[in-house]
This record gives sequence, C-alpha cells and structure tokens, in this order.
Amino acid sequence: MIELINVNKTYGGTIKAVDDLTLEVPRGQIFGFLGPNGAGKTTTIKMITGILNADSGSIKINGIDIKQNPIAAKREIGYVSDNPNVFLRLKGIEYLNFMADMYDVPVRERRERIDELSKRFAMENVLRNPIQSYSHGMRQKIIIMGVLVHNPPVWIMDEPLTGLDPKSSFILKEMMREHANENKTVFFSTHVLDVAEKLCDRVAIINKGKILFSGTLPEMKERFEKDESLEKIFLELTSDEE
Amino acid sequence: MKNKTLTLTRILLRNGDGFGIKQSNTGVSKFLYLFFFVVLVPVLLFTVTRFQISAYNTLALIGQEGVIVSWALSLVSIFIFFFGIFYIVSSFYFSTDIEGLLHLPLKPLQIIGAKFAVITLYEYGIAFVILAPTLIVYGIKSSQSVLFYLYSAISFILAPIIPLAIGSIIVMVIMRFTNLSRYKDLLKIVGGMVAIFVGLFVNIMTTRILEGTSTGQLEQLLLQGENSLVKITSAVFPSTKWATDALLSSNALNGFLNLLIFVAVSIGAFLLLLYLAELLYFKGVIGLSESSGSGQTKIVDLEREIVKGSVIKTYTLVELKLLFRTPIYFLNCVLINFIFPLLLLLPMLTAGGSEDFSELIAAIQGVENKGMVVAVIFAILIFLGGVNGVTPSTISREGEGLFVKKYLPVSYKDQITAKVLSGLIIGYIGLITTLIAAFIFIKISLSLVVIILLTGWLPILFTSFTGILIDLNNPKLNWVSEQQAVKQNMNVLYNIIIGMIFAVLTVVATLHFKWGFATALVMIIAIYALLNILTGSLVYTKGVKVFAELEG
Repeated sequence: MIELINVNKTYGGTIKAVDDLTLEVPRGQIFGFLGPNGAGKTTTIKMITGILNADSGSIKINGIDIKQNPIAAKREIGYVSDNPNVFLRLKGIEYLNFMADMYDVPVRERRERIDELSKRFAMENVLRNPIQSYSHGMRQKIIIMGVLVHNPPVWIMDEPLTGLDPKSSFILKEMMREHANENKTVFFSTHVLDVAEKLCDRVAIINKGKILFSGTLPEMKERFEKDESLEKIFLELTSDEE
Repeated sequence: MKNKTLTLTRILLRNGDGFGIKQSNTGVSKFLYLFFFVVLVPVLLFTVTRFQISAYNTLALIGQEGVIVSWALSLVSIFIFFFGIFYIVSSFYFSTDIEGLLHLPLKPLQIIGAKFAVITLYEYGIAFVILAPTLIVYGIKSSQSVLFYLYSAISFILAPIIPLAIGSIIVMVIMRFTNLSRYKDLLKIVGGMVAIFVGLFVNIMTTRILEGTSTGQLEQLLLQGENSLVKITSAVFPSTKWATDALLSSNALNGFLNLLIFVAVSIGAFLLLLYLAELLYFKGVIGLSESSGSGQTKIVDLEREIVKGSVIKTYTLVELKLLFRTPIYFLNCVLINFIFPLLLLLPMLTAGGSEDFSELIAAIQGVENKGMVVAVIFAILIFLGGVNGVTPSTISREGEGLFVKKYLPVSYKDQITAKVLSGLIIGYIGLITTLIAAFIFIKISLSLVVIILLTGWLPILFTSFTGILIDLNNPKLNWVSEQQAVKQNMNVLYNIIIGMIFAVLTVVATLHFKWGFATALVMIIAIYALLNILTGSLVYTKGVKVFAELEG
C-alpha cells in the first residue's frame, strides 16, 4: 500500500510540480496514474521511490515513512523508471546479480526467478551480452527483470508499456495482474487513457500537480460525463493516443 | 552557405557546457570557480614569471638567455602532445556525440576539423600559463621591438597545432586498424593504449637526440654564447626550433624566414590531418560503438554465474567494472596510473648521461637523504591519488542515471564507502606500478618497498576523500558524452591541484624540519592518518547529508 498525505514539491522555488497531493494506493489491485505530459506523474513517482525529497507532507510505503526510514521503505519497492539506459556496460546477468545483491536476495531464490523471468521474456540467450548491445525494448525488459528478482511488495512503474512490442507488452500486463493477485501493490503511470481502461482496477487522474479524480473505472466514466474540467483532460488523454 | 566546420565547432563547444567550468549554480560551485581564477591561476602565472626572471638573469651571464624561450616552447609542445593524445582518442573515437554526427551529411574532414578546433581551444589554457609569462619576461628584459610581440602572438596561436596534428595522425592510423576485428571492445582500449605508448616512444626518440651530444660538445656550445644552447633545448620537440629561431631573431630576416616556415609547417600539418581524416576516419569510427557481445549466444549457467555478494563488495565491483569497461574512463582514470610512473621516470632514463643517474641513485641510497626519499615517494603517491580522477568524478559519472542510486535500498554511507573504495583500489594500482618502477630503476630497498606497501594507502585514501567531497558538492550531472564527466569536469582538476599542493607540502616540510628516515616516516604517516580522520569524518557526516539531498 502507498499513502501520500498533503505532499508538495516545487522546482526552483517557483514551479509547483505537485500541489497538496493526497492519494491512497491499495494492495491487491492494479492502480493507474493518469495524466497528460508534464502533469506531475514522474515527480510524484520519484518522491514515492525516494529519488526526490518532498518539500512537505508524508509518504508511506506499507506503513513505512520514506523520509524517516528510507532504507526499509525502499526495500519494499521495485521501481521501473522510464529511462532504461543505465548500466549499459554491464552484462545482463551482471546487472541482475547486482540488483539481487542490493536487495539481499538469497541465491536459491534469485536463481529460480532469473531462470523463470528470462524464459518468460525470451531473454535467456542474451543475458551474457552487455546491455549496450540490447535494443530499447530488451533494455526495458532487463530493468523489469532486475526489479522482479526481489519480488517487491510494491511495484512501481513509470510509463512501462512505451516501447515494448505487443508480445512483451502482453506478458508484462499478465505479470502485473499476477502480482496484484498475490495481494501486492501495482502502481504505474501512463498518459494513454486506453491503456488504463484495459488494465486498471483503479485510477487517479493528475493535472498541474493536483489530483482531479481517484476511484474505480466505472466511477471515472460517470464523472467524465458530468465534470467539465475532467472532460477537458479526457480530451487531452484521448486525442493523441499511441 | 555557412561554413559547416565552424558551425559544428560552435555546437560542440556549447554541447560541452562551454568549458565545463560552471557546473551548477550552487554556492560551492561558484566558490571553486572564483578560487580557481582569482587565486590559483594568478599564483601559477606569478610562479612561472618569477622562475623565468631568475632563469633569464642566470642564463644571460653566459649569453644563453634565449633558452627560456625554447624551453617554454618545448615544454608546451610536450604537454600538449601528451594530454592531447588522451583527449584526441576520447574525442575522435569514444565520445557519444559521434553517433549523433555520423548520420548527418558531414564530411570526415568537417567532423575532425571541428573536433580538432575544440581540442586546440582547450589546450590554449596550458599554452597560456607557460608561454605568456615567458615571452613577456624575455621581451621586456631584452627590450624587444613590437615585431617580437607580433611573432609571439603568432607562435602562441600556432603552438598547439603541430603537436596535436601529430597526435591525431598517430591515433587515426592506429584506430583505423583496431576497428577491423570482431573483438572491438578490447581492441579499442588496446588501440588507445598503443597510441599513448607510441606517443611516449616518439618523445623518448627525440630526447635521444640530446643524448647524442657529448659532454665535450656541450661545453663548446656553452662557451659559444649567443643562445647556442637553444639548439639542444629546442630539439626536444621537432617543431619548436622554427618558432624559437623566429622569436630570438625577430628583427633579422632569418627570424622572418623561420616564422614563415613555422606557419607553413603548421598549416601543412593541419591540411595533412584533414586529408588523412578523409581517408581514415570513417573506416576507424563507423561500427566502433557496436558491441562485440552479439556473436555467440550462450545460456547462463545458473549455478556458476548467479552468486551472492555483500552489498559493499558488489557495489564496489560494479564501480570498478564500469571504470575498466568504459573506454573513456579507462583511459583517464585507470591507464593514467601506468603512464604517470613512466612519465616520472622518463627524465631519469633519457636525460643526462648515466653518470648523473648513478649519482642520483647513490644520493637516494645515502643514509642522510633517506628522509627525503620517504617524502618524495609519499609526494608521488599523493600526486597519483589526485591525478586518477576516480572519486572527484564518481557522482558526476552517474549522470542522468543518478536516480538509480537514490532508489536502491542501500544507505548513502555504504554507497560512499564503495565509491571511496573504488578510488582507493585504482590508486593502489598506481602505487604498485610506481613501487615496481622505483624498485627497478632507482633501486630503493626492499624494506622501504614493504613499508610503502603497508602505509601508502594513507595518502591515496586522503585524495579519495577530498575527491568525493568536491564531487558531492559540485557534481556535473548534465552531460551527453562520458568524456564530459571526467575530462571536462573541473572537479578532477581541483583534486589534482589538491594532490599537487599536498605533494609539495610533504617535501617542503621534510626539507624544512630536516627529518631523517624514521622521523619522516612517522611524521608523514601520522599527518596523513590525521588528515584522513578529518576528511573522512567530514565525508561521513556532511557528505552523506549532501548525497541524500542531491536530486538529479
């Protein structure tokens, strides 16, 4: 579970990226974080994962405060960023071992998971190659594998489906569902309404740093028809689909 | 139509954040920047000026005052040649901006022309610090005419061209052939190393010309006066002879002719470089960034290749792997540990006769001087620790990937420990190569070797601490090319300067207090232990806090 209470973040003293944001992401569901470009999605995610410090407010991961107990909170999280171009000089297998060591995963467990994940993502033949030789989609897959190797109670992703081929995209969605079914938290951002509609149990819509809506999908549809400001966002989210 | 080479030069300069000096808008960055230009550069200029004035006065007694000009020109050429080769390999072949350039409709000569221009601009810094004071001292002292200053300006502008053109040609020829094989990753590093060693070899060969002059001839030259010694000092680097002759006889026709030759050879070298660029560059660079891993595919051996390690050990190993595998980091942070001990010993191996050399060894082995030996070895170690640039670029090298280090469930304290360890280990490689060189060539005793092996990590740890402190407070995270993270990172330079200052202080203190062997050893170890406690505690209190607050 992720709880954000009255969280604020201002860049450079003037630009308010996140404005008094309060949000609860429950376990056992796939939660979509929806909003147009520049709405504050990535900033929010970076504060949840400990990459950015919030100016004020509190953020708790499964009840652990990220500010007061950062290491314990980070252990709960697996984070897939929107930038897969990291550790390019390492081989795939070296990267997975590195991540497993950082999250203190026992040898047996990591062997089983790496074996299973590499087969599912069809990556077993490239793990010995440097990540630099991977395509964009393969880089995304190795990052996702690096996150799942420690089987995180809270799985957070920033625009995870951009750049994946249909098959990998399907497998990822399948894994998100399995993860949620194990009563874990799955939270991801997207700027495409269609993706959220097909995948999520719950969504939150953010624009200009403020949460405009948070609830289930049917509730969202109902609100879209009544609320004018939401309707505008709806148009922004649907007019330029990928 | 606008000149594409000039446009590209401007873009390359801007893309590299100008000269990479102003790295962020923090108070620390501004302070370091001001300190560099208001204190360090003037002090350096002042020191060179004072040195050259006294050198002029002494040399004028025997009619050899022109030596200061040829000496300065030679030194500038050698410096630019050595540092330039590192730079050329990085910039022409390993810089990530190349991929963005190769698909543009640009000719090789335009890319190389622009990159060469950028490197030349950077090298003017080195040239200025040495040449400007020297030429002004010589000009005023020997009451030269306006013509001398005009010639000086031309010589200054052209000074980097020939050394850099020679370096570029060596690099391009070698890289043309290392790109042939399937094992590119390995070969491109080997290619870079070969280029640097060829550079060293060229220098040794030219210095051998000096050795060919016997003592008798030398005395004769000395007695001749009228700057006859210049013949030898300007022979150190081939091209400096013309510039020297032009400057020393700027009022005669001979001077003008030499200036013409110097200008012509410089332009010729540049044109030859452009011509060779057309022939060699694309063949050397295209496909270089392809990874060699895509050949055979093998399934991972789960039992053997999936193993568990402690957090700090794994983190440190990854830091080291990235340093060794990223060609630019390898050339600048790792290879330098092998090059510098060689450079330090080079003058002993090439200059003077064997007589001077054996005298030097005798002096080192003399009991009364042993305090100095300890001081000099520690000075070399602290200099080496400063020069490798591992910790002063450790945060900067993360670049836009810094966010990974922020979400990992590893305390900033442990991350800093791993980063300092990687600097310490690389520095220790330099310590071992230096010790081997010193043991073989200067014949230091085995007991001293053991003592240094056991205590030499102290000064290296100190520069690792100062390096990471600087980089934490002033990281350069917005870079597009790995080169900018180490080569155009002022933090590396700041730490080199810290290393130099403490190297000099170590020697000066030993001299001043006339420490013997045991005293020097105990005092130096004690002082560096204390310095480590001070900087270490700063790193683990304030440093950790700064890391926690860093937002990429």
